[in-house]
Amino acid sequence: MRSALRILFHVGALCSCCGGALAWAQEEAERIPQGILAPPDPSSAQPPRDDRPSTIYLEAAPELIQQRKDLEVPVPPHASVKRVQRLFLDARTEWRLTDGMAAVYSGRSNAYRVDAPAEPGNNIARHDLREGYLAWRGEDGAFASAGRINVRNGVAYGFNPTDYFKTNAVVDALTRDPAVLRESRLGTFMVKGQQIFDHGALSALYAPRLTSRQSLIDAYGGLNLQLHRTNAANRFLLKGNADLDSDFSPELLLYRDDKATRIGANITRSLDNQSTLYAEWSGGRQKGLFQEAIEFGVQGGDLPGTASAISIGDTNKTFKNDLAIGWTRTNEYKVTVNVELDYHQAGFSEEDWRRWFSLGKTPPFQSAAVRSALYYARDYASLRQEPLNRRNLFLRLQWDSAFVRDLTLAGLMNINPDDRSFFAQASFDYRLSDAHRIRLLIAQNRGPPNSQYGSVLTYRSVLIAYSYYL
Amino acid sequence: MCRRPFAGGLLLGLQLMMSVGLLTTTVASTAAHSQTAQEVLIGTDKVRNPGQPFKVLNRLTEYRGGEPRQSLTVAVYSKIAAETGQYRNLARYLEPSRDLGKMFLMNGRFMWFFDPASAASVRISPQQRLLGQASNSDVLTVNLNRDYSATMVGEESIRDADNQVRKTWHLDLSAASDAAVYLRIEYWVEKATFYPVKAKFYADSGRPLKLAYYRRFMNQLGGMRPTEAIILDEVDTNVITKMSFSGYQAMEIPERWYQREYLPHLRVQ
Repeated sequence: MRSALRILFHVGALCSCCGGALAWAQEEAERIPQGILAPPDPSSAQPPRDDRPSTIYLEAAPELIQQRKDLEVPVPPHASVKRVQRLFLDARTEWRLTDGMAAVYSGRSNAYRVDAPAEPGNNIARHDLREGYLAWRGEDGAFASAGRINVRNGVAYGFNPTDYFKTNAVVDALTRDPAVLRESRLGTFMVKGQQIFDHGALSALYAPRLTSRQSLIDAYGGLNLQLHRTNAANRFLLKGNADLDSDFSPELLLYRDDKATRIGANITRSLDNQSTLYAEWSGGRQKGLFQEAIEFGVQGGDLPGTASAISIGDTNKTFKNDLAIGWTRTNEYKVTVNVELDYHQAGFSEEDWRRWFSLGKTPPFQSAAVRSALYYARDYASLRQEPLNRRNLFLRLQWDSAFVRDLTLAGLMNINPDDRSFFAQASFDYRLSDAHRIRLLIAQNRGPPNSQYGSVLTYRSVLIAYSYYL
Repeated sequence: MCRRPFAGGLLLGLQLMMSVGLLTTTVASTAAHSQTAQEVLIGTDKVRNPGQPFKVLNRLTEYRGGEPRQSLTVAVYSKIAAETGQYRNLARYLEPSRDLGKMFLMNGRFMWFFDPASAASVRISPQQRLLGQASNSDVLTVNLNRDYSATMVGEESIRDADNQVRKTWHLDLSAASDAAVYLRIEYWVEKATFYPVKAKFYADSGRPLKLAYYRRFMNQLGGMRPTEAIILDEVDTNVITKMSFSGYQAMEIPERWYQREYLPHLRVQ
């Protein structure tokens, strides 16, 4: 882990050091080529229209995944290498129906093929409706909307305790970068109202339960709305913020679903010209993560009833806190660093981890059903976009215009400070032109076999994505 | 963050040379000009800044090695905050397609960025505000008099972007409030007209970030104002950005538009 950390920080340090040479000697105005000073072309003076904003792009993203064979807690026999081919068309558009009414669509049409040696190829074609809603705007800052809407809360980067509609909503994660993950998540069917004042805002929403199914297991194709991901419970949210001074506008949230009530808060503050501090907190009564996962799986039918006999962590419903505190700093060389401490009280403690590995290895519990339940809890945390471990360190570094103008380098790490295992991802994003973009992502889970990230099935993955904006 | 010894030494040496030169000039001229430097700044603020809320289209074209590489257009809604006297800018990207619908809000020291793809508003630091091309908007709409203390360096004849000689006041501005985004700005103002001719913006480290030339002065919103700025990137000296302003339009802008929650709702009318 130390070596990976060192690499991450050295990249950051290097970014700061080689920002470019200064050009003092030349007469400054002489640096402007005559062609730049030509009068503007009258044909380009026509402003772009904004009455039907649309962004449409096509992306091909093949991925190679290397899987572990020597897991401490075994899973059913699997291939050591897996290939995923993806092609998708992504569109987001808005129609202005009247002065105060608009219709919004955002979605992605996917075609996949998953291949592994000695296994038959698996083809999937699916359309994901991310958003589809009607939006109304009234006079004096009143807004209302109804339909499938992506509501995102929170100011943190790695873990968003107040982002209550994130759970199970991400489809087809091409990356673990939270900043990008949000682009591929489904909205929730809801009605929403908002009033924006001169020095604050208040909003309320209600998302009804539209399906009785709850499941983490997905094998959908076609045009399925995947309601079990977004509308498996009745949910309410009340949210407000107020400007207390020119640089301080805290936000408070009250959330309720069929099982629990949670309260939350978000604050941000400038420390100086380069740094911003942020904190995001949410609290409510809940059981430990493992117990919640098993209950969810048994109730929804993903797990057999016998799985309820397995227990790890807190089995009682008590008030638990989620907290993300972070600091972001940008220097003049276009390097941005995020350091964030995440605390998820319902997550695994060191004792919980010991029990997890012990249950997976020790007879008489060493059965496929038990191991299935153990891994189910991990999937549950991942799909809910919550840290599995109670404490987590999130690091992210982004260098814009790295070496060349249109290249962005980004690296991120999720570190378990208890067992020192980590997930690391590096991405290289090059904008060939306004319409063409190419990305390379390399990700790896590292750590001893009995650690959090050392016991993840995926060891390493490499993905190349090419995007074409129509 | 570390600096390579050679680069650090070179930078420090240059800063020292500049400081010594600046000090000498300033001592000689302060007595004669210290009362008028701030007045010059107020005069040139009036040239750049319409005294009323307005909308303007800002087209930015980036040139590399003199060749246009990419461009973007943003609609900017500017209004002075009553409590600070400083401009707030709200902008929506109109092109290219990849960035369509992205928005940012600049209000004093803070900036919020909204991306419709993730439906997320993200707060970024004042330093990040200085880096993006679109954020170059602040070379135009910024009330320097409110946040900077001006010192008269002297009177100079300099060449503008069109190679014409202009008789100018050379001002050195230092940040005088927490709201100042740049630690230091050098400013050249034409004596006869108070037109801004040239400005050099510095990072906190003392390193020059960008150099702006103002040109194409036209009658807009009740005064002669620059409708073009040529910005030379001092970090990557191969890059020049041309900002063209068009479609000035005075309009009432409600206060609530400058709330971050308003970002998803902004539409260009």
